[in-house]
Amino acid sequence: MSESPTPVWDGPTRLFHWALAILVLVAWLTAGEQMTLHRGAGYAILGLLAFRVWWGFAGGSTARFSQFVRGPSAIRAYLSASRQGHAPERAGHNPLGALSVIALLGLVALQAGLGLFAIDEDGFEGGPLSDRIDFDLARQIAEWHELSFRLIQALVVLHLAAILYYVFRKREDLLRPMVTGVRRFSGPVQGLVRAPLWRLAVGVGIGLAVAFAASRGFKLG
Amino acid sequence: MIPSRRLLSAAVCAAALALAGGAALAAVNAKAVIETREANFKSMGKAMKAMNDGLKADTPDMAAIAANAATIRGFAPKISTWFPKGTGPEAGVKTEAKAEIWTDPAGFAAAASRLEPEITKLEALARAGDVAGARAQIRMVGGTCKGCHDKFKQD
Ligand code: HEC
Ligand code: HEM
Ligand code: HEM
Repeated sequence: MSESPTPVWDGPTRLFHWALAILVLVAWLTAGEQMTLHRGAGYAILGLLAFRVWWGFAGGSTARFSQFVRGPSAIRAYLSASRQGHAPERAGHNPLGALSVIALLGLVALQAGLGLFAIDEDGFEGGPLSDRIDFDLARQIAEWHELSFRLIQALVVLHLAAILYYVFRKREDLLRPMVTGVRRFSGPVQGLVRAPLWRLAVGVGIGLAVAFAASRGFKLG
Repeated sequence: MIPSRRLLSAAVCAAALALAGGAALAAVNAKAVIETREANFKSMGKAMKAMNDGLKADTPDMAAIAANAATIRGFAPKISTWFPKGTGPEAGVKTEAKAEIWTDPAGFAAAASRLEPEITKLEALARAGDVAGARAQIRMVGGTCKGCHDKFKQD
């Protein structure tokens, strides 16, 4: 573990992650109580997700979906290599962890999408699109909104358990790189290839536009 | 005196039957009572949503808002009568009514009595065509629904 620090996560990806974690916590704590804040956190999350999708195609190398979304055979290969203790070191998500990344991103998107249509039982606090549907359907969607949040909670527990497992059983600290962006490997590893700044600007623009449009219920004018 | 003993056992049997029958009847009643009140609450939820959606428009249809407010006003004074003893969580029927309704009847009655004045005010504002006033007042109405739900309704 003496190789010089290699960059693995670019700043935007790290910022995305910690902003997402904080906003999911905010949405949880405000649900059913501080609904203006709750919706605000939700719109910001939708903006973040839009940014992340763009970054998954245009961002730094380790943020690209093409780099970490792999087929079952890659996962099997990783698992058996890992069991024998010689999984290749790499910058970025491993093929198994990628599943959890996709599931988390997808579920959070579903959560926020359902929230747009949900309404509380008072028929009073609702998402900006709840006026397009009737009360019964909006209540049904609110039930799904709650159910999908239980799934997110379960996945986040798994997420944290996996990180602890890597620290204690595999002696791989995944947390520090997600904070500092760099990691030490035992041998030379192809590090992060950064994306040009203009792509970040475009991504921020997309994120802001989506968050703003969602807060207006996607109504023009 | 055999006849009187027979009479006694007949009376015991009758009493037992009456009790069982009464319990069964109460169960049927509890189910009907709970279903009716849930349907009524749902109508109130629909009316609230219709008013909220309506008030989002630039020029809301205030007659429609007043009509929905009248629906809720009609229900409001009756709410406290929808919860006879035996229609709580112990009824064995799906209900979100909490036991506190019966352990804190004064608190429940107070929560119920807050709705009528607020909804009456909203109806008046809607009839007067006061859009800004109605937009502010519907928050007060929503607050009384939520105030009761937080204390007396499950999740
Ligand atoms: C005094 C207390 C109280 C007030 C005031 C009140 N509710 Fe409720 N509400 C309840 C209780 C208790 C239940 C649960 C009933 C049950 O499940 O048996 C409930 C249930 C509901 C339900 C769910 C019905 C279902 O389908 O199971 C809706 C919708 C609802 N209320 C809407 C409203 C609206 C809208 C208002 C205000 C305009 C309101 N409530 C005011 C006590 C109240
Ligand atoms: C991904 C972010 C989000 C999370 C984690 C989240 C989580 C939750 C949770 C846990 C509840 C409580 C459900 C209950 O107890 O009944 C809730 C309710 C609600 N949320 Fe969200 N939510 C999110 C995004 C949104 C968005 C974007 C909107 C709309 C703009 C929204 C609108 C609502 C509404 C209207 C309710 C009330 C439904 C009810 O009372 O049953 N949420 N949310
Ligand atoms: C404090 C709690 C959290 C910690 C310590 C944490 C830690 C981490 C770490 C170390 C990684 C990198 C994994 C790797 O190396 O492959 C990661 C990735 C990720 N985490 Fe978390 N996480 C937390 C909370 C959350 C929450 C609440 C969510 C969302 C609901 C979340 C979603 C994600 C996602 C989507 C990624 C992939 C990042 C990307 O490529 O964009 N995390 N997390």
